Amino acid sequence: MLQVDSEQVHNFKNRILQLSDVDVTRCIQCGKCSAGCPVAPDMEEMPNQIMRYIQLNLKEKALTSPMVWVCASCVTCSARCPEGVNIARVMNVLRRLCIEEGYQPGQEQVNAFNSLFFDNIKKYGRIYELGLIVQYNMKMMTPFKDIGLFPDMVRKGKISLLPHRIKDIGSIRELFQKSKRFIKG
Amino acid sequence: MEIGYYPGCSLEGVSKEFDISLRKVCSLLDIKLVEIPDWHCCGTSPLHAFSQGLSYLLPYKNIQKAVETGIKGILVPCPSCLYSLCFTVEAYKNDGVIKNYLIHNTGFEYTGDLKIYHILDFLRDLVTLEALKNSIKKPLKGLKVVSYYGCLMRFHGIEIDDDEQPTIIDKIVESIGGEPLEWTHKVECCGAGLSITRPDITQRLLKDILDSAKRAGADCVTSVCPLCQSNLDMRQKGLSQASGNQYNMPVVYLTQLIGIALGAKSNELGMEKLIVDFIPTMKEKGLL
Repeated sequence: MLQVDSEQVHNFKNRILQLSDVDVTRCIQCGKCSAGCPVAPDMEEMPNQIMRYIQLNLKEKALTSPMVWVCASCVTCSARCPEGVNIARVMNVLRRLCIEEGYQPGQEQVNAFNSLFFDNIKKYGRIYELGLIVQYNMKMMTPFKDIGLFPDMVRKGKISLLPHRIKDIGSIRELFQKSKRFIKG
Repeated sequence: MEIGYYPGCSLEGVSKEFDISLRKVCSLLDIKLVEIPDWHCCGTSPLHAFSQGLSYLLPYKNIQKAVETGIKGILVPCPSCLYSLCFTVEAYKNDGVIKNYLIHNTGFEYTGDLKIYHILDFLRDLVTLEALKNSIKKPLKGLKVVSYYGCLMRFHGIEIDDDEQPTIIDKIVESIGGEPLEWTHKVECCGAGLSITRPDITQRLLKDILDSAKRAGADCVTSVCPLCQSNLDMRQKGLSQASGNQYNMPVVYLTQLIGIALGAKSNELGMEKLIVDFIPTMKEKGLL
């Protein structure tokens, strides 16, 4: 017989509440988030299913779902939720938790891009678009991806060949050093 | 009038024409832009996925830089930067733990009197559409425009208007003499954030948006987001190759349209930087 610990079964949703101030128990599984989600047609799991995983204490499923990582952060789900659940914010918390606890991100290239973006800001203080794209393509071993865009962008002066480094990069690096992945919990 | 200016990273690179046209429009309207000294990246979605601390600290440090110039308001053209700045201020005001965290890590205590504007509410509330209308030298007569708001404009802490069917851009287009059209994809996400990591998804989304603009009979799409504009404009060539249909829909910044109407020359608005050429449409409509 399935043994359910009546306390532990609430662990994960309580942790999400603590980290994000979003109470996922409010989700009534109406599916409005999934209906409006721009990436959902390409995914096997829907945003409302991710909310259900949290309600059901299915931590690993929620943390490693590709849906969580492909979420475009467009915030349509949160804007439309009839129960006021900030789903987009929960998606971000799940991504942070996945990294924090050493799980495998459900879409590795998104995590790879995010970490290059992170290094880029830490290095220059502003985004160095060309450097970011080149580094990403090298990391993914697709060096010629988007190469077709390059001639137009150079000809039209739409891409800076060199990075803009801010003057006081020291104070930004200090913030990177001091910052915590989670402010609460 | 004088206002602070936070351009954001995109306006220095891939979206230079947004910066160029915004500066030109402001100078024609006698508005002085004071760029926040040594501003830095707001962090945007990739950092939000990494660290809650940084997702608040980076925007907060920019607010500190703005406040320290003594300026009372800032103009933030990029909706993603705007979203980061606004949710940081909101959390600071409503959440004591976050407030203490931000003060503790920066040594700066914000008193909450910096007004943050996007160009839309800036034009509506400070410039006013009436004044804009009165400054028009070349009305965009007969130019059929679909207003593309993008996904983030509706959820950024600044009151624009309706979440699902906004009208503010349409009203601005109308006030400069253009013809705003009804269409289906005003607030649909274009997937710009996934254009590097999941280009397949991005291509599906931008195809839907461009198809809808075409169905509506638009001469051009107008955008107020550097990420949406560059995504919709740059990737039409690739979409044409992938789909076998020819995509050739100009995607123009609203500030470029306003600039034309205010009498600026196209090279003063960075028109030549658009990938899908808008000049033939301008010629056809007698706007050159």
